[in-house]
Amino acid sequence: MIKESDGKIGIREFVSIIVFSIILKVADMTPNLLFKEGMTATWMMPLIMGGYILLPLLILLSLLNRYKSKGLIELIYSITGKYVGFIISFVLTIISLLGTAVNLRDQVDILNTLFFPKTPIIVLLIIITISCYLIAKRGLEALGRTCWLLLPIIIASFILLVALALGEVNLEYIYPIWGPGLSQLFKSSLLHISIFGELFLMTTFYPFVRDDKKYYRGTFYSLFIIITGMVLSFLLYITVFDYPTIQKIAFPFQALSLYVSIGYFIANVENLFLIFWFIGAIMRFSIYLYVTTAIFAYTIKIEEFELLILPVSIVTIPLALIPENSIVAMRIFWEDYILKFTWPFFILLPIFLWIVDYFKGRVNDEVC
Amino acid sequence: MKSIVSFFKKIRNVNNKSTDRRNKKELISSKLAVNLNRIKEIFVYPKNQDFKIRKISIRSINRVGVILYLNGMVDSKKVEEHIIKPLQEEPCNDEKLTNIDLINKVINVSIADEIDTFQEIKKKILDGRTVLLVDGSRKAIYMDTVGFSYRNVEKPTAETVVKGPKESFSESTQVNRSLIRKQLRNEKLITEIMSVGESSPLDISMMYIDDIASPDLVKKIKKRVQDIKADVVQNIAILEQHLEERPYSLVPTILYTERPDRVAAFLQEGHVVLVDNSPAALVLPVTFWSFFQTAEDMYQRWAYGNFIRLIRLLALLTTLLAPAAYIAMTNFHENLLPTDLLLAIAATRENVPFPVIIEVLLMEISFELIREAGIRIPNTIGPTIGIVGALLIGQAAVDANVISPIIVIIIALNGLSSFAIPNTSLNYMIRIMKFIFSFSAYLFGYLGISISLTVTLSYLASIKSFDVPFLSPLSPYYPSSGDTIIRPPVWKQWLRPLNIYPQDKQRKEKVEGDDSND
Repeated sequence: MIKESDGKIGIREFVSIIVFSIILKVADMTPNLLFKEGMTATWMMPLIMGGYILLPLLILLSLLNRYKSKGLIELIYSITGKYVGFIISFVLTIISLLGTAVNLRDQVDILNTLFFPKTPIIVLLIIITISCYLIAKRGLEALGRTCWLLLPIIIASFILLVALALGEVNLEYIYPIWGPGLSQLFKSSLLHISIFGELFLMTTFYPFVRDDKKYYRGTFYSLFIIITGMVLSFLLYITVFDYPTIQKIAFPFQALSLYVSIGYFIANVENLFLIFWFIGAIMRFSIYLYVTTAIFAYTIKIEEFELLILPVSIVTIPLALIPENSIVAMRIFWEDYILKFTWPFFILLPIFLWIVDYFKGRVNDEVC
Repeated sequence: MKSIVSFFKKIRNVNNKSTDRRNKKELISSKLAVNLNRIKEIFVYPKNQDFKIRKISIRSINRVGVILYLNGMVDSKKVEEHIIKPLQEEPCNDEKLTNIDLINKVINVSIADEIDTFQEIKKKILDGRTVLLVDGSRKAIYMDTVGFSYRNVEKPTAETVVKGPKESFSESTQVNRSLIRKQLRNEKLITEIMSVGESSPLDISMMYIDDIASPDLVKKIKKRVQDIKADVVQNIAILEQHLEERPYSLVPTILYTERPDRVAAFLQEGHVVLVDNSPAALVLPVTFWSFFQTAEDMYQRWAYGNFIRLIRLLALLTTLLAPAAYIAMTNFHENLLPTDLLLAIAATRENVPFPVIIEVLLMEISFELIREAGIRIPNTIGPTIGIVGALLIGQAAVDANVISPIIVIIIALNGLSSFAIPNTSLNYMIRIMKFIFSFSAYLFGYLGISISLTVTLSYLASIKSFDVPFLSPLSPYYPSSGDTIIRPPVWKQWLRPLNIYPQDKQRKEKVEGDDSND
């Protein structure tokens, strides 16, 4: 029996939300961070990262499956108790909030540098935050549906970009194939694993997905789409721009879209990709705002969290203004402060939860 | 303060009293003169000259009776031949005949029954029935003699098609229902009659197919109709506004259609339809696709139907985005245009004193003016609108250096596209949003357009029409026949759209076949 809409989302919407929250990182400064480490082999890093997070993700999902109808934060609370639970959840809130702010700043700086050089950053920031707030306010259902509507369009535009860029590709640029060497590759992939952190944060919405089994499948579908997209785009960047050059390009996605053209008459197709990139970015930050608010609300145990989206959005603006520019935002705040501190968190948290649960469960079983 | 409170209390009491009086059932007495006086009081007789009272002696029971009706509401020929004549001429058989016997044996009108309160009498007379009061009886008889004048069934004016039926609803419930039943011969097609409005009630027929439409949906709509607290609901267009969930929203959530064949198609999918004496019916719940699609999409062959749908999608996007895209291009993203075109545009804009946004607004508003004037203008001076319009949006304005020629092209294209949007409500929505998009493009170029587009999409995705998500079955996904932007061939549409929650999900068994032509 088909259920009437009940505030829950289906697998399609769920996959779209995850994909939107992560895949658009190929169009901000994340590639710069990765190319610095991975050099010509950067395109392998998403694959390796995918391998790394598989185990913690599976552990987390199996835990969620055991504690039915609980999201990530509720799970943390019920496994680790009131105080430890609060600390962990609070750290997650901070990670999510800072991640939102820094990435938003990065996005705004790209806009400012490339398209609106005369507009003050704060104006752009406020405009984008307001629009993201308006979208996030409509709720998880609306987010999921909008993402599901837009996903085919975004994928189609990506395929078009790949097709147009094929003419510029020089396959020899991917050598040396192992880049900095395998061990270095594995090490730096581990350090940047938080790029996939949204996969963990999204488990906050575990109870809102219509079917548990579908949640598993959905997570893996989205992981597959994200990794494919990232690998393809990194391959494209490296084969179009070559290794040392790519490091000098601040915004590889935008540069690539400037690079391609459809014949002589329509020489500047970048505007087309820009619209899709704008739309994707707005959706991405709406999701971030919503997730951050949800994590925060569950941390302080407020049920009606949609009212909190406004305060969270307002807090994001001054936070995003702290870094002086996007280089500082990404290289220092995002990479040095956030990525390098959070990767153990995402790997170890599920394992930690599992161990605690295991012992608690055993004690409980003995009592019974 | 106290006085204010007591004042409001008084008002409430007065209101309560008046509703009490309305709701109280007042029974008919057995004395004809008493009854007649009360009815005269109700209908302000003899001041009201349309109210007719005719005394007759009923031969068959040897008693006096009175026939009551409103002039103009009844078919007087029917009253004379089928009521007065038999009552007066039928020979006396038995003095003990009751009202029921009168109905069964004497009166030859197809619908007749007994009623026993003044409220019912009032309602029946107002509906165009004739009421017979018999001396000594505590019951009255009403007879169906409705004889309004209404238009013939004509061609639809707003939803025209090239291929397909060319009938539209008329100003009569009877005719409208018969038009629907003609299209949809189903024994489970149900008509329930409800009345809305307190002082002059309007009868609304709710139609649905019993074994398809979801019972919850039917119940919900019934409740919503009954909950309307209005003194008068004049017709279905007003009812639409009473029923909708978001009165301030730009987005319509109820379909107003004048085509019986469309109504029949919706009924088969499990929608509910409201009909009254209006030249249209309301379909609810609806989705965005109901507004976007036309009847013709289905009547034309697969390829042609989809072709016109794609053209219409293009028209919709052009209406919404053309002025905004032009503003964004000229203000922010000059590099999108090929150099030659850019130079050509710049050259034409050389002599124009206004910024692009003013130019666009000027022309858009002129076009809207022509549109509105075109509807309101009396037919006799209709052709002038063409001449004035051509001057306004045309060579003269360009020659006067008020606008640039490229704007003429944009606005003309925009206007033409807006006429291709099939539904009036959707048309208004898109035309109003066009201005919002233009402004956001003026402020932030393509970023502004993207923001407006995304916010609009998320809004559309979040709203519901009677629990049915507005963009379903596309998003959220529901199993359906995929009849959204494009449609599959007719034989493949074996599944009803499940977003309407039909009881019976399949129209027919799934057809196994392959798509190839051999």
